[in-house]
Amino acid sequence: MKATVVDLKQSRQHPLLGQSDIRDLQSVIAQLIGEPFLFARLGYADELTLHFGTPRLAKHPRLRAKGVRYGSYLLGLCGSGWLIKSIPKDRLIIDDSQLELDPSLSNLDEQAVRSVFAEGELFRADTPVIAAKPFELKKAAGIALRLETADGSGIVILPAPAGHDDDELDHDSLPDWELKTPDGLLRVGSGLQWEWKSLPDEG
Amino acid sequence: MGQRKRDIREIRAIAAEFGIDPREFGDYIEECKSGGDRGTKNDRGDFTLSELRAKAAEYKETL
Repeated sequence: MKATVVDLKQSRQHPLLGQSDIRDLQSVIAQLIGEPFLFARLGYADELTLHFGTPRLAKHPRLRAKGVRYGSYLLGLCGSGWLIKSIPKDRLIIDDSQLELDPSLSNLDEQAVRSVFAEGELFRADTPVIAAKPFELKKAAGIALRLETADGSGIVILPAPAGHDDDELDHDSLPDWELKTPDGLLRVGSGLQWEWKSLPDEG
Repeated sequence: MGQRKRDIREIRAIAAEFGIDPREFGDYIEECKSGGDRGTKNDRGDFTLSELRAKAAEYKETL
């Protein structure tokens, strides 16, 4: 039997060069497999975040009073595009802000989109992740992610093509997507690079 | 989508400046907006950079 062992206490930085690097990245993402889906939420600037694992209440009292929760595993899309297959909703939902789809395909207003992400309704609650596979998206020169849950739902994260996000700020300051775990932070992109940073215990 | 990424970068930079959790801070801002405490950046009630800094200080003080 062949096996890959990844020391998650060790920080690493990778330019993505080939299939072995994809496998290395996949082995880091694999810590999400088996974790139950909790909910998805659109946050500031409509950043979509998927929460998995064990829920905890927010630290700030104003948020705690509202019952705002976070998963122990956070998959943040950092403004990248996405495509979601929701079995409970019986819908394929596509973020068309990046994909520039035919407007006739998009029939959800902002309120309807937000209702799609109401807690527990996107994927079946507590359904575990069964697959999380990164792959190179050549058109965007970036790393996409396909994630599936046991209820048959799933999400594909699509990084923006190079040059799509043209501004004067530091492009390296925001990844295409990220996974925060109890052990560390995985930042993927921009471009074909990723890094894993182990985090100190929060106590 | 460029604007969305710029906005996310902006709030993360301010959260880093104040040493606070960027995601919770972003949710705090959204909670403020939904409670009627809105910024002056645009008609969506978003906050300008200086307003966000004031909000970050407020968040930190009340944490």
